Amino acid sequence: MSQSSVTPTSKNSSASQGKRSSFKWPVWMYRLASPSYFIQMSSKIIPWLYYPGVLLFVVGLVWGLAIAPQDYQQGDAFRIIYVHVPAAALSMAIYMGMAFASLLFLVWRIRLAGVVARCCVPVGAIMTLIALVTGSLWGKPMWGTYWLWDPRLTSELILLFLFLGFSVISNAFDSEESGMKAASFLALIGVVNIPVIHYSVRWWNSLHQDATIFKIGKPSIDTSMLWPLLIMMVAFILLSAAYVFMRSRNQLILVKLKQQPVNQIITSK
Amino acid sequence: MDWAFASFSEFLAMGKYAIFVWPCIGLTVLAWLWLFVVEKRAYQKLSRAMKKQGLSLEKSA
Repeated sequence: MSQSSVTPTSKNSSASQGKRSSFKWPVWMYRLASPSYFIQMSSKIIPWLYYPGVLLFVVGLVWGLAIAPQDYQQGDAFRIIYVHVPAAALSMAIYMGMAFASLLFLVWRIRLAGVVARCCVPVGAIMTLIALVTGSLWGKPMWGTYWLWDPRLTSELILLFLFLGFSVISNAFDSEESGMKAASFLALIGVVNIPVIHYSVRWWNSLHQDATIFKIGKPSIDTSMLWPLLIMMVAFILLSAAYVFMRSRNQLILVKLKQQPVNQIITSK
Repeated sequence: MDWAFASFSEFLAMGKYAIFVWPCIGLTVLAWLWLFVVEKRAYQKLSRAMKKQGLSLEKSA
């Protein structure tokens, strides 16, 4: 449909034809879309993401749990922030990454983008689950309840269902490509939920507190508490990226092995 | 840089919030471990399978 509507205009307009032919994607982008190049590249990148990620995770956790001072209102319960906030922020960031990869898959039919989108699901769903569970455990001593249908909590729960829905739909079809197409549409529609999660505390009368770091102006948290939080954020980003690279590499190797004539080794195990 | 707690037992007690703080930390650490252990094991299995088929990552690329 979209091709037939594009072709007549491009035939009629020589200017647009000239523009089309003159535009070229950078070579590194073509190489990046090649599964073989991706496997090789990811093997080099993973250690640079994984080991600094683990190191920063340990440093941030020790700093946040044992060195950062007590909160004057929440006491030591505030220390949940060091896993809750990075997990919540990453859940949204990973969803955006998954949606972008889905867009690449839908528009340019890049199979590698489809693989990456699928590999975002486990880590994205786990981050969302951690955000929900740690938020719930933080809510009990502070709000007096584990759960309430607050806009922030509800929209985060919807995010978890979107991740699970993407996984279910992508595996629900006989053809892998059809499954990925349908799941990609869901991922793109679900992007609407991201600003809802972020701005829900401002748009509606929410029990959840307003943004602490990701807001215009100075963060409303003391620097002695902020530093370990930022370190944990970077650690979560690095570890998530390392995970997506690892899983994507495994999926691509599996495809390569299946293409070989002797593939009983994997399937029998 | 000062420690926030006077003793290790106080640190474990997390004020009076140990029952809320430690499960959160434990869950997060276990989740990350689980994610990476599963993928690491899968990679080792795939590497062995590739070797059996006479393939290598360098060659496949």
